[in-house]
Amino acid sequence: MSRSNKLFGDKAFDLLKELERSSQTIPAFDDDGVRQVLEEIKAIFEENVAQASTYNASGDRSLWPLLNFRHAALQRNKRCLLAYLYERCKRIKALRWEFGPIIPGDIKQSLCEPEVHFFNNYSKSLAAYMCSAGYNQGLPIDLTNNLRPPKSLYIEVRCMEDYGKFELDDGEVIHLKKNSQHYLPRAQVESLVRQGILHHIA
Amino acid sequence: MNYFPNYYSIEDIFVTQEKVECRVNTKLQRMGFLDSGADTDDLEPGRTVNLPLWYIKELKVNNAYFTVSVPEIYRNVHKAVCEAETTHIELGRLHPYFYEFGRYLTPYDRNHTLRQRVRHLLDISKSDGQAAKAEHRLDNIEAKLHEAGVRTNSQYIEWLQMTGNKIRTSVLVEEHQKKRRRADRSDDEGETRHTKKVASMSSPLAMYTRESFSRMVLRMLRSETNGVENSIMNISRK
Repeated sequence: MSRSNKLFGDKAFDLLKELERSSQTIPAFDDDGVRQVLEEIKAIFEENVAQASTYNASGDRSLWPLLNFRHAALQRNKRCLLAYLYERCKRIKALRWEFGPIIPGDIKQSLCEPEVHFFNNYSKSLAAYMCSAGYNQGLPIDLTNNLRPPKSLYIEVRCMEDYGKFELDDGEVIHLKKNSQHYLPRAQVESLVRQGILHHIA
Repeated sequence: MNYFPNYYSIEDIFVTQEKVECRVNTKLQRMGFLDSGADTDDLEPGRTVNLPLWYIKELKVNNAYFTVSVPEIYRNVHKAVCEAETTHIELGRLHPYFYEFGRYLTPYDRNHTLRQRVRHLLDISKSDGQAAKAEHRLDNIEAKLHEAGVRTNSQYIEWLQMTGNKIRTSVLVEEHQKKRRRADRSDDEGETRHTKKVASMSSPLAMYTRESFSRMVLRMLRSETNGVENSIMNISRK
């Protein structure tokens, strides 16, 4: 039981530190770190169980503070782990609103399998909700549009990259080429602007 | 056991990770690993060890094992300085999470100096929320207040200048693009970047078909100003 200066719970804290450092994007899921913390929890638990059973047998209270400390460490680890997962879930939800229903490939790489699953499920339930919200009109409402109240119907946009053809609702096809400028209905291009393909000018 | 503001708060976890100096009162068997200087298995009374706050939180204030000593930064000397010239202290240098940390240690401070101080300092941090300050002078809460103040102010100015309705690229996307650009630069320069097509654009668009006629009318008037557009839109709706 002779451990080095490394205290219990430090590894779990490192996970959170890493997450906090990159406050905007999602860092890669730290598989190894999580596993190490889980192992630590397991080790603490087993030691505690062993000690608790000897305590029950002998009634010797001298190890009580140690038991207490390890229990606190166990709970601390649990809290750090849960907070780590929860914060990532929160950021994944934000992804849905910012990037739209498709995650860019390199971000997807930094998610683990269940997280991708979570994203898909979240996307699905959001879509289901948007359908039900517009039920009275018979049309789904896209809640990710118009995050700010619109002031004008048309906006002038400049294309930031070669996007290709883009079809408007009335059937007109626009060729979005880099550095070209267009005057387009706001509602239809808002998501493109938010994804950085178009740039709203004036 | 209470968590503030909630169980998942990362900030709170950061605060409770801080170490506090404690004096050992009784012999604690096999806890020598807590004291890096000790060579025995047991923790002897009289030693001082640095314990993380998350453990101290679990113990009772008047527990038999440890006596918590309130850190220097909350002691009287600093309090005197603080009352003399409140805005002068470099709080952030004392401790990045000054208030939160202090909140946890309040029960251990018998003189209640801390309570007065926290209230006192909250007052000043509110009053100077707008002023631009050197980073290290603010503690975590103050920095957040400051940020919120600046943001509110800029939103207000935006509203006054009527520029608020501009659609911006979302912050997350911007960060992501910056990262990608950086990666591209470090990669092979000549490599052609593949542009990502955003799929499934059709579903959010379909809902607007009903209005497309009035839009076509409007398109003919595209050189008109916004105000005219709006009024025409209203007419065509009626």
